[in-house]
Amino acid sequence: MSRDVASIEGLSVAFGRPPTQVLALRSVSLTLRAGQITGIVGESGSGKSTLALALIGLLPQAARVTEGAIRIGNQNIAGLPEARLRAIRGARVSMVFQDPMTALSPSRTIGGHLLDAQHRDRASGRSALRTRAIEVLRKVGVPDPAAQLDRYPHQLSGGMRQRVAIAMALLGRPELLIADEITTALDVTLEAQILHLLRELRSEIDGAILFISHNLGAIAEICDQVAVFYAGELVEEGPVRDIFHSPLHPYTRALRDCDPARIEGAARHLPSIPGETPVVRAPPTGCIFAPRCSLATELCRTKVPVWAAIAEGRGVRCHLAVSKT
Amino acid sequence: MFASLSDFARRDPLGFIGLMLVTMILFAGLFGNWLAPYAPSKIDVPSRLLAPSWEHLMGTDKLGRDVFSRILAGSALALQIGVVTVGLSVVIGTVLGLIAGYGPRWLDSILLLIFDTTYSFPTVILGLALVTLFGPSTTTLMGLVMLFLIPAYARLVRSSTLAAKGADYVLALRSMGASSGRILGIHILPNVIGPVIIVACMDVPAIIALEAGLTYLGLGVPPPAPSWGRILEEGTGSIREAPWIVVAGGLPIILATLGFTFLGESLRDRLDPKRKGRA
Repeated sequence: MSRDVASIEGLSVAFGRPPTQVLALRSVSLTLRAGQITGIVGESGSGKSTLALALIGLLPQAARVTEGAIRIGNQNIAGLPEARLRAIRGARVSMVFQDPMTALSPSRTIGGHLLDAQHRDRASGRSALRTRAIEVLRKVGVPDPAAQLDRYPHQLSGGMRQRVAIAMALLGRPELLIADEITTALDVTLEAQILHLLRELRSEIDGAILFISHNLGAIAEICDQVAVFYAGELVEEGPVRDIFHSPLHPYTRALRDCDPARIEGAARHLPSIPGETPVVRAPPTGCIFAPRCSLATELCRTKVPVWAAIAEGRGVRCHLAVSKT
Repeated sequence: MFASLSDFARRDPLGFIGLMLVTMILFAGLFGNWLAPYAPSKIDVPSRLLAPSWEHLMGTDKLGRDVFSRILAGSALALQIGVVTVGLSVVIGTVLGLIAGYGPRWLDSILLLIFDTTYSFPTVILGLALVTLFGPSTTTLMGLVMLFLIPAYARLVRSSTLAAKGADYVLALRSMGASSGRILGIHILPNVIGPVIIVACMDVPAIIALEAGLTYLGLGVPPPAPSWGRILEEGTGSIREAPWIVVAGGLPIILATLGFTFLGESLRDRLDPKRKGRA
């Protein structure tokens, strides 16, 4: 098994204070390994982005880590002061955001962005930084990179801007690259290109990639390991093949069955999971998915299921799945 | 930007006229004392109220002073009050606005309270109070003007900083480990400075006019300083015998207003990054 780049151990994050608090993450454990792309799937509000922000030490001020550890390498970054976190951001962990139209400063040129991304390197001269910027643009597939440096973000297409954002994230040579829904704002053709790029980068960067998406197709295409989130909990984790071919958790199964790409022929109705993702303000008394689960039993409603590790990197949080195996 | 001046004149004629007028005023303000044919305060009673001629381009006033020389000398004063105070106000207001908008919330509340308090005083009344306290002088006038401009600019910068603070690109920059100073200076400043520059440019003529108005009320620059407002005021006394004095006093105010306004509008178009590289 390859080196652990980052890991989250029993992490719980809450926004605000009781009684209006929101328990955005509850006892989540996850390990990210070098050379792997780990996918995170879940509906909006399932805690995917909170997890990403926790990993890069950018949780908003209203958020508190109530328990658990966030480890980058061997260092626990939960509760570190801002100055120490800043040393990690962009150097050991980098992030690419969802919307490439707004993730670049409108009044800076592409070159300005890429030079800024190297702000830690005070030793190299401007021309060396520029050369490196051109190099990294070429690596992410931007045509005619030298000419792009003087252009402004609004002169580039969405796909090109997203490549620039990825280039910026790569310049710090991070061990962990977080891609938070980076293809959601792009059309399918561009999405395919960006996914292809990420797959190429996996072997190139000496580290892990965390790929957050609600597009199961994208997850299936590029991820090695998949973690399924629901309402702030990790409900199932496993190698990509297992998650898609033999899901254990009813939620994973329902999610898979709702993927439009799986529906054959012309369907009149898109399948959906009845009910809504709950906003969790107090620790649940049963399985968090029970109200929407078609298989829920009395046990599910009254007892909180514990995480059951089935194999290395494979586990589920469900009474039924555990009793079955 | 523009390859040459003629290119500029062709593509943006109003901006070009604005630039020309502002350059002219700057030139007059900087070198007016050398250019003036007569000493601006030299009294020559026998040749009072002369009509414009080659000898006295804009005639003379009721004390026989050369109006053209006084206008030239007045531009230095107008620039000092208009451009210097506005410039200082822009710098101080921008810094305060950035701090209020990006800093912690308690600091924002304190600064906002101060801005709003000073902003809520009526200009002329506070002016009267300050002049009574410190006596009429150029410094008092400049201080008064800055007291009103700084909070206005600071509030403008604060609100755009607040908007920029929440923008994705700021989060993206923080995710790269950029420090707050770096984010403010390199990224937020260029995105918020545009509106302030434009407002400031439009404020310059307003301040020049305000100076004229306050001088007229006896609150501005004390005589015999040759301010445009004073020339205008003194001219009204002899408007029947010598209408050229009022015209000569009003013309530079009008030209300065037009010049700075045109330039301001041109700058607005230029500073909007969405328009850069187009055209």
